[in-house]
Amino acid sequence: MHVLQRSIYYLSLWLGIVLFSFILFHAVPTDPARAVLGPNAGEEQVQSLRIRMGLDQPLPKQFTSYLTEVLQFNFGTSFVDNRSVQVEVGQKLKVTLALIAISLVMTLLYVGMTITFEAFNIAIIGRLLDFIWVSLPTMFSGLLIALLSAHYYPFTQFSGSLSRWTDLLFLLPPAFVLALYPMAILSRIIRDEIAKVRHSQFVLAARANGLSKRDVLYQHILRNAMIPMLAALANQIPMLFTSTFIIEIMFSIPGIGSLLISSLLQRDFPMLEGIVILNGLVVILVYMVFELLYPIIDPRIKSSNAE
Amino acid sequence: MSNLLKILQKTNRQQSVEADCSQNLIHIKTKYNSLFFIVAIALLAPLLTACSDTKKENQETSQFVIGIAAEPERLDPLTMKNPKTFILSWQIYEGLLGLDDEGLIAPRLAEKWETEDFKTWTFHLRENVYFQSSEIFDNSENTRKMTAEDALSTYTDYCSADAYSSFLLTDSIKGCADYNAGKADSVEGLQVIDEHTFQITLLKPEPFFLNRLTTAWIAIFPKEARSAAHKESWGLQTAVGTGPYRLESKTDSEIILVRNEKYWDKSRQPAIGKLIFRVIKNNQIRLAELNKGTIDLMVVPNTLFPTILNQDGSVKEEYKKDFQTEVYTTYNSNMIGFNLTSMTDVHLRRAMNYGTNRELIVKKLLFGHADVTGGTVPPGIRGYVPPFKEDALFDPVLAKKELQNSKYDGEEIEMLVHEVANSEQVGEIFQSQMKDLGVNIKLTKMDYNSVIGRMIKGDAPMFGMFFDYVFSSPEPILLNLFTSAKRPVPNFMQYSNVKVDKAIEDLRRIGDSTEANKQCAAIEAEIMEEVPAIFLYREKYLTLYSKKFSGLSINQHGHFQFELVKSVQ
Amino acid sequence: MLSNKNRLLGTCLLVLFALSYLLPFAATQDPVSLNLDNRFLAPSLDHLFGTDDLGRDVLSRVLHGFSITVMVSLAALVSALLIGIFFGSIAGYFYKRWVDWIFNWVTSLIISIPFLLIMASILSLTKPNIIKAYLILTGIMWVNTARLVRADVITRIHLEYVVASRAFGYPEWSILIRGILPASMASAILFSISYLPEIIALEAGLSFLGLGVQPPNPGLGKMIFDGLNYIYTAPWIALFPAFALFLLVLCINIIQGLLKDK
Repeated sequence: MHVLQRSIYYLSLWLGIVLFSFILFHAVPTDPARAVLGPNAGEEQVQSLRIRMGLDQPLPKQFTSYLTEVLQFNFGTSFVDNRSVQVEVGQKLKVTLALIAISLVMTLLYVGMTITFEAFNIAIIGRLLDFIWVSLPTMFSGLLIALLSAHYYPFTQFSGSLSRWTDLLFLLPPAFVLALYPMAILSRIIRDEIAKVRHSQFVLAARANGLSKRDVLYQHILRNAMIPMLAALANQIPMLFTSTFIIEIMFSIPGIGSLLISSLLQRDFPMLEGIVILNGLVVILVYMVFELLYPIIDPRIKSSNAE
Repeated sequence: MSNLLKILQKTNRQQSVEADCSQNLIHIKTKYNSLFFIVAIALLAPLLTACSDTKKENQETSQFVIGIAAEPERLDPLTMKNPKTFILSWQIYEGLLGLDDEGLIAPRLAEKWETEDFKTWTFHLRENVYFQSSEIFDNSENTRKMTAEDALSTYTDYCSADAYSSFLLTDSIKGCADYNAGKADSVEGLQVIDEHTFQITLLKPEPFFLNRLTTAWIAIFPKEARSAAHKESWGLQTAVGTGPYRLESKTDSEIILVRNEKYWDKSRQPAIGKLIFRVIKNNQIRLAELNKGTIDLMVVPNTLFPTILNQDGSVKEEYKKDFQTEVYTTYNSNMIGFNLTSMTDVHLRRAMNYGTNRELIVKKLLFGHADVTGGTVPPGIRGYVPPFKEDALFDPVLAKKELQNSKYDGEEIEMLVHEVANSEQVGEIFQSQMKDLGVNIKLTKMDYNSVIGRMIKGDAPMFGMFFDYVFSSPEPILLNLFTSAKRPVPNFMQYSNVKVDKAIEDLRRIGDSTEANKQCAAIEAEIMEEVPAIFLYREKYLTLYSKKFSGLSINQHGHFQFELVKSVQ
Repeated sequence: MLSNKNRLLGTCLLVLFALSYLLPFAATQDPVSLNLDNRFLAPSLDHLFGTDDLGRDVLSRVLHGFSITVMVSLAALVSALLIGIFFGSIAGYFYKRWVDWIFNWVTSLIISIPFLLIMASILSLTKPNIIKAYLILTGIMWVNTARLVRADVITRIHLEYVVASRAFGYPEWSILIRGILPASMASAILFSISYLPEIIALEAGLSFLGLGVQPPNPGLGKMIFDGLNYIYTAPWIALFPAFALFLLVLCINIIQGLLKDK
């Protein structure tokens, strides 16, 4: 029942995204027909293209026809050169998601490292590093890493698709830059949480029972500290998408960000709508996954959900 | 182990020639125990290195790698409109005509042509021109001959509303405008006379008609391209023309063209077997790749000028040592346009025109890689000599005088700039020069398409703009930019002068090109009395390429003739 | 009503604002006037940070750009805070009712769309200026504050003093404003300061798209992006603004860290 309720909620959210993107791109006083044909085309040709794009029909009618197409997963063809929007967005989304996935892996590795070091009390270096990572603007660190990797990193040719595992190696430097901010935030959170939980009653009890510091850490403290960390992770995801756009520009990765910017500049409305909707779909799926994860990690939430 | 990987990697991309070496490797099964595996690799390693080494050798002598700045558009001749794609697409596609070394009309797919009244043009197409082999042809040889039928279908498609460049033809060819608007189902002025003769009839006489056709912009392509079966992949996975190179593969970051073995021009058979276009968006990284040797040629964007050139415009020693340079021009024009309906004060415009120091911009911003111009028709186009004295264009005294005669009262004048072609920097320099004169300019930066939109709507008093002309003579340029019938597009300045309209119409009767050039110069001088725009310069481009190759020639349209490049061994 | 911590924070922000307003006066040279003979000069006594691609003094431009960036970002932060607190507290107070539901829906919508780029594109169709950049920034950042406040309010609505106030007959709005808000606001404000770096980065991104500071005025983000083109031959053009940004963010984080520990 609860699952059904949440699913309806997310579906309505997605529909809201569809409506929003439609309004944004159709109700706006701009002229994609002109952008497509360039400055030299005559007015009559632009007008006939406008008609063929369906831009002269009343808005509600445009929306209903658009909605039916979207529900069939047909996002139309790009204004610019008639490529299928779905195929393009799908390809580019794969690349961006791969990038985000790799940076998440890096983040988790780093957090794992932090946790291990907590057990050994070499925390102070970590604290300092986190401070610096958090303060580095993405542009700055991205710039430095891009320059360094251009000179020293051998895998500088991204073939544009993820056909071989070696392509993933190319994504390592940008993923690293992307991971810097979340790494810092998450490890700081988990460190704070571990510190908090360390002083609570049940930890004292466990230690009194004879468990070693490390066992206490892994078995008890971690589970409690994980929750705020997961919450923070869920919050970081949208921000991650935004940072990805900047990083894609710096490292010239053909992902969703580059597609978004070039479609914006070319007023490629079908592509833009496709990007917004599919991107929104992915983000919503991520939210749903996290919502499913919470009860598993913290049984307390499951019971409170049931009420 | 890394050799094995390299081979397995290359297997995906290489042609069958290399299959022999790699076949052996793929069949190694993992169920053999590891010891055998290691021993096998150890024994095969020399063989593998030998294979890979010869492969590399072969590749080095027969491939040429070009670094480009952005993904190319879809390789569909009807929709391509960005000049930056042409370095690639003009290897695959060809048009009826081209330009020779002096910038005069040369035959390409059309061997001969004649006209009696400049209104009806008969083209004799070459026989024995075959399209590049491709699966879109349903026969056993995967190709067929180009005939006048193809010319007809191509030109008809170009007149259609699907073509982004139909504006080139809609006012010239009879029936083109009707077909474009959907009022007819064929173009009246296009006719097939016989298998190799093609005729075009114009609305009005145009001695300069051929100068509209000297690029591969209107490329002859097979009509199978537009059939339902191939429409989806046309320009993406397939692109078939008649040019010296054909498309082998295209991804968003690498495009590979291979030599067209059946290329019709026996005097221009490509020596390089493979052209690889690699997309490297970041300018610095592209230069780094050039230095590393992983790419062989790049066009130098002017943000890299400070890195590569000395202050006086000559190439720095360390680059001269390792690379050759080729400077080429195209018929382009960089300007600051006025909207004559809102900027009505001619004295103010003249003041601004005299107050602009173009020399300074060209020398400092572009390191001398541009020619100062007073008008829009590019100097040298068909031998054209502009009527302006370049060193008399900047005259602060005259500027101040004109400003006093004007009714300017110190208000802010808005100027739109965008992110392309140095528009913002030129705008900033112009703003500072106008400040010295006493004119207050406010800059507003928007993206290129927004500026175009505003310019067409008439919403911008001043705008920075540049044009890359595909014509090879002055008349079409004047026709498009300055006749009153062409407002607001492409007569963006909304210029209207009955005398000039008539003079441009009279050009249709001048058959001799020297006489026509002289007339055009007179017309330009007349136009500039009113200063519809401040024309700044004609840009020159710089390419840097490896000393391992020679013979590179780039014609005035910016057509890179890679078929003439040979590797130096 | 405001705790010591908040007063201290408020003072810090005010000082930051005043500083950024006054900084440009320390600039010895005109950040806007260009001098084409002095392009790409390396840092020297005349130009402590060198000159940029049009011969302008980088130090003066950094000072001015810093000022503009900080002022716009602070203004956006404050308005985002106000709007966020308003909506967030209402949504949190009416937890699980339709007000809250709408709030959740709208904020999730805003978060899941690359809002920045969309808004920037739309607004770039009209004439861009710094006010519009401010509006966009506010429009995006209020969501985070609002969610924080909402979460905090939710933890308090079941507390005894709230229930008691209701039993006493105090009107809902009074309970909200006098009872819950002061406490929720405090932690929300503190946490929101950490968004200032993000706002600044977004502002930089906006100026990359042409929204925000118009040429020839300097803006930190714009300077960094423009300077990227010359990073090999004239690294100071991009590095100094980036470094200024880094210092700013570092200071904010230090302030936040100090205040949190108190």
